[in-house]
Amino acid sequence: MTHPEKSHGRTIPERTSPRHISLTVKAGLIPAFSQLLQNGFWIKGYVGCSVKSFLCEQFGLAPEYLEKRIQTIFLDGDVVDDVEKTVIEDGATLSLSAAMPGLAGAVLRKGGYYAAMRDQISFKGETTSASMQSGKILVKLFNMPLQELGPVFLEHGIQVESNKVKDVLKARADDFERGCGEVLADGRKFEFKQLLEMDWGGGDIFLQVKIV
Amino acid sequence: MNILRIDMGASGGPKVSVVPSGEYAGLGGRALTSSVISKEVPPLCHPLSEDNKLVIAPGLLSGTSAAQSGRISVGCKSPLTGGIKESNSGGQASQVLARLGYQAIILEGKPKAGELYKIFINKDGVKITPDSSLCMLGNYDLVEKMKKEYGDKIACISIGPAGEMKMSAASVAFTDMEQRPTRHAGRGGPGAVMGSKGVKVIVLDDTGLSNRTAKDPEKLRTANKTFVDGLRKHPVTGEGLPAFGTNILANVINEAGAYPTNNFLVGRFPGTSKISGETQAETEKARGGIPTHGCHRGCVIQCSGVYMDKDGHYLTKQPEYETVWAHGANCGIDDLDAIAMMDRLDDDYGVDTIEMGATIGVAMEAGLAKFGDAEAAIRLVKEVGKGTDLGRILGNGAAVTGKVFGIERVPVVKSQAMPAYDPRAVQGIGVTYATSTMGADHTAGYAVATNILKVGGYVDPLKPEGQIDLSRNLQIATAAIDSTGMCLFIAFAVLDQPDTFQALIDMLNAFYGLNLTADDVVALGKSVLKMERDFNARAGFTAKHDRLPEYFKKEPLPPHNVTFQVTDEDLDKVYNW
Repeated sequence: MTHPEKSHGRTIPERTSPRHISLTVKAGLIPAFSQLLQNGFWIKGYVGCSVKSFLCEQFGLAPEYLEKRIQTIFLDGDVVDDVEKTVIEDGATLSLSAAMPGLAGAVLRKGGYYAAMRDQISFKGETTSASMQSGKILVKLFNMPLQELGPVFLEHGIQVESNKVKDVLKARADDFERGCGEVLADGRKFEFKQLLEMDWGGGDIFLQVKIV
Repeated sequence: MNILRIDMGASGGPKVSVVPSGEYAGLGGRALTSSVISKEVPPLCHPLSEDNKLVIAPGLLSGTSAAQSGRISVGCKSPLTGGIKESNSGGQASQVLARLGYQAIILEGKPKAGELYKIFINKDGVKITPDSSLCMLGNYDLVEKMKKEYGDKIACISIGPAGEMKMSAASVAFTDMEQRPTRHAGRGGPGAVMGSKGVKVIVLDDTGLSNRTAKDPEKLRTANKTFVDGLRKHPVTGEGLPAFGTNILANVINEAGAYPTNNFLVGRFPGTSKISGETQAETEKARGGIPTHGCHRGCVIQCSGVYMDKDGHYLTKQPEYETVWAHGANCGIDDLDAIAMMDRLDDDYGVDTIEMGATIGVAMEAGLAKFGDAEAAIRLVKEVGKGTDLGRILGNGAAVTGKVFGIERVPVVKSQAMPAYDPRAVQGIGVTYATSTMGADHTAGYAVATNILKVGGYVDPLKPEGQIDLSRNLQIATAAIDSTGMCLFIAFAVLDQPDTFQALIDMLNAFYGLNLTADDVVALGKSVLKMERDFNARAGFTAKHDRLPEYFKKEPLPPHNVTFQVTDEDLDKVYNW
């Protein structure tokens, strides 16, 4: 899938067709993917809709979870105050966090009492629903959403740079060797060691991680 | 309770006086330290002179069963800012000192040059002994020596070599539950004032003493339970902070473009995920450390932790968000182990981690090391510990270092280094940096409970002047919370849960037999700020000191490319009440 369009002033790089890697691992290995999820991963969906629609209607996030648990949201680095009116465009970066401590935490909260203190970085972009189209966005997960939604997105499947995934697996190769069940690459079964020995090439891969 | 005054300059040696609270009755924490400094210290005195005083005051509920009551305030005229200073810390000392029956320790006068003392306080009294063997010991070795001498039930208040060398970034260290000198009153150089008094360590032993007794123990127990329940059920104090510590903020502040990087050059650091609270917690768990730990007994939030090195040996406590930023992103360093090592060195030498990280950032801009060079950064910190000529410059903070090396981009207000939030991206915090009585200080406006406290009435946050009003109210609320001696992290639970705030008031009332209301707490905060502001005015501070460095108004901060836009006229309105 390619995305040559421009969005938010930046060009989305051409991508080769992602290869598909699927791992079944013990729950204790999920934290190994933490930095991947913090740095961001691509997911496909329909864009041109609200943040709430994207997360709840397309990815099944409970509206109550979005309302109460995810208290701090960024869209392309701007603080989102209204998840129902803020529209996600193709290629956007959406970051999800729980409520944060301290004054900065209070200031950055969506619709917070102290919103005036960060007016310069509040989201002021598109707030009316444009026409929906297929696209993809970069999702970053922090703190509690990282722990709670990370496994869900991993099971659903994420698109990430292949070399970064390989780095994660190599860094804890022994643990994965012991804690990894089924290993599939483009639908074919492999031993974990064989997976690391493969030439992954560059570009992105589609990664699915299921818990045993 | 009594106040313990020690005249370190008395003829014939240090003289101890135990005096009633008098005009300071009913005060604790910042309210007490700022009252004493405001009334008893000549504002124009040299901070290292015999006329300055060092006030060490537990909170109002320290030494009781109340949760989160273990903060301790240290006050003086600051060698770093030249103004009034209150810097507070966790650790065990607050609880122990209060159980010993002291409302505060006040160090006065100044001994003959070269004399270094240790002070031992237990239920039987106070013993002051000269001990030259302690000279230039790091805090870790010092505490080990004190444990051998006085046993392992003690709490220590100490200075490292930086305090002895009277560096303006020197901290006062407090031991934690494991009797490690990991908690520090760091900001503003109180360690230098303690060093000028010739006091290396105060050893506290409350053996044989029990908790202070409330006027109404049952009411205190009930209120404390409500308070604890409120902290535990809130997602910040009950989940986020315990799981990831204060460094939970790194990713979020970075995403906001407000994470000062390479000496406040840009607002995003590419290596943030390598040093985030999430990664830090995973690293600690993988190495047998602890990501969830209190800094004193009675802590429910447990935002601290234990950081092990690669071999699984103790290195330092879990570095705080500010520390990880200061030695990390601000210096372009994305190596958690290197950052933890600098945290350990800072604690051992007894220097403020924020000031040191900011100073190394300025030194890197001056060309003393390259941004991102962790080994060079560690070498620079070691220069401070050794007290080399370069180390003495660095140990006196970012402002001095900037002057010595001719650097314009020095992120300080009133000569105190800014913490980990760029004021161009979050401008309301910039208002607080500029106008705080303490110099650039992230905690000065930390008590995000102004709506619950109803400080300043209704504020329309959508109006441009809203952030001026908000900053004012936040500073008042923070001064109030600091004066109770409670951990500031209670603020979030108090913000969202009125019953938790009421429980705090109920605890104070139950213990002292009072009928305080939220209005009384607000009035206390205002009176503290007024005293501090007045002291600073008498020390020569004017509105011109309530400003950010000019470059924050001129240099756009990527990625949002914003400058600080609050006008001087608006800044001058903060103290209009």
